[in-house]
Amino acid sequence: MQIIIDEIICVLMSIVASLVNLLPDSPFQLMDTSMEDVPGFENVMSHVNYFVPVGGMLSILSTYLVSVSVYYLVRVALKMTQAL
Amino acid sequence: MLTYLKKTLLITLSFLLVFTMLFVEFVRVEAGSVKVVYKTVEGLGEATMKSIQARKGYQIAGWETVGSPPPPATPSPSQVFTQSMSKTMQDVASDSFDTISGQKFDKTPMKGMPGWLKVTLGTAAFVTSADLLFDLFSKVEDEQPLEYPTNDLTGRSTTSPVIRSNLTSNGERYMHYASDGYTLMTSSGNIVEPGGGLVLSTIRTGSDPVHTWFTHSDHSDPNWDGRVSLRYYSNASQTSTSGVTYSYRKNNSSGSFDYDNPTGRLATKSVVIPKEVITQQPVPEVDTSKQQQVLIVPDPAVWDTPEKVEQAISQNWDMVSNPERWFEQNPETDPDYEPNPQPTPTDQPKFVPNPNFNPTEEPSSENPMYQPNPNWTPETSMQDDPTAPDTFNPINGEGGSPPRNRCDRDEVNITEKFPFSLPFDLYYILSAVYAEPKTPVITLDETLDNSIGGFGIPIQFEHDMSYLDPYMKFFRILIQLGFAFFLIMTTRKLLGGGG
Repeated sequence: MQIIIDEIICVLMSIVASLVNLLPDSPFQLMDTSMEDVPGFENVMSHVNYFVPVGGMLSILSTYLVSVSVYYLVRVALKMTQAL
Repeated sequence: MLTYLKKTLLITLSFLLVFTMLFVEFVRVEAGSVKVVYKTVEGLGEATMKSIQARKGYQIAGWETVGSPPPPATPSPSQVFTQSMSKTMQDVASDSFDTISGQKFDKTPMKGMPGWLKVTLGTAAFVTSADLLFDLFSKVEDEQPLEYPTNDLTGRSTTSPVIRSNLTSNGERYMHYASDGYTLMTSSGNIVEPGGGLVLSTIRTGSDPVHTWFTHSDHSDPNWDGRVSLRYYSNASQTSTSGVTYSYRKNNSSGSFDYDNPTGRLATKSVVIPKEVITQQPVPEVDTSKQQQVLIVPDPAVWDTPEKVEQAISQNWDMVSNPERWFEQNPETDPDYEPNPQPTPTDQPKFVPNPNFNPTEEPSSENPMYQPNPNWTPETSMQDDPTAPDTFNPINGEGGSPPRNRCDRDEVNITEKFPFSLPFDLYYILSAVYAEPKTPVITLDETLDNSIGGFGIPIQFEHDMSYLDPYMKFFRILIQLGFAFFLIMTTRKLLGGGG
């Protein structure tokens, strides 16, 4: 009995996995690998960050963008409640 | 929005300009400092010494052919300068002493003069720099066989032909044949090693010398006692009573040479001599009637050409090396050497299916499904072995841990599939860009090759910008504040706030 349940779960997982496999690979993976190919990329960025805090600015920017998108989501939700 | 962007950029650029000017000023001051000059001079000296070493080529040609110890580590430039300077000063002092004491006359037709006259004339020659004539005479006579009286250190009064070594060192050493063997002499006639017949060389690698002896013995002679004594001298002015005596004997069964250490106790380790070196070929130009004949292998630091090394090797000298250093650098030749054991495989299950299992019958102790694996040990045990648990029953194959689910193989990494990958991609980008600020150290270590001279001019430069550290934190915070200010003002435009 246990084996049958295991098999059913296995088939279901295979279906989900094959569905996910239909999705395209992340296009940013290419960039990710190319960063690894550049030796000392982090080292260079350390020196760049010494003069201009690019990393810190990007962190602030990404947090800011998330905040803005959350704001828009809330606004859309509020408008929908108003419309209802 | 553009207005604020422009203002932010303007402020940022102003800060950058100020700090760039500051930085350039520091570089200019330091670039002209004595430090740079010193580094350049040091690098020039190093290149010169390396070129000299490369020209001599003793390390490469000699050791690669014999299969001997690897070349000694290159000393630092300061060490090279110090050693070469002290060596030069020693040579100058030794040469001056030879002149004043009249020993240089022994190379000239005036060698029969009384000692007091030689000293007088020698001192006069030294004062008037006329001793340069002696050197000139030596150059002219260099190719000729010389004769030396040998009545100084040992009391022997034989005058016999001196066989000059075909390997010369600075100040030159000679093989002197006497009635009881060969002796080592300096160019001024000093007997370094009276009798016995031996040769030694010292490779000076800092304070840790490697002794390498090239000797030639007629091993087939039944009268040979199978033992050769070697005396180690650190400089040519040492006499028979100074220095340390080493000896080695041939081990006929192993073909190796066993060492006696300086205290006389037989060393436990022996050195494997290359087979092609152990021969009974007589040595050309050396009296083959002697049982033990030796040529000199001088200090490789002053070894002239690699051809001379090859010459000694082609003439089949016995080669003996300092055992301690030899085994340290060639552990595989150590008789006690044990290679690393092969890594044990870790793929053995505790129980394997019984090949004689009869599926038509019920599993029983006579007809078990599994049997113990003879190759199983705790070291070779495989990971996730389903037969490993104590609850496993080898008769019916039940009770073990379940086999790995085949679904595991179909795993999909959802973090690599668009669009679920976006948060992870963002994380990777930020982690790559957000590197910890590190103080730049500008290092320049290049060599400008000179194809004519054969050696290059090294340029070494190092500039540590850590003097900017206290200011840069302030500078970075200002930029971040400016950026935040820009975002805040942009938000107002973006979201249409403020009416």
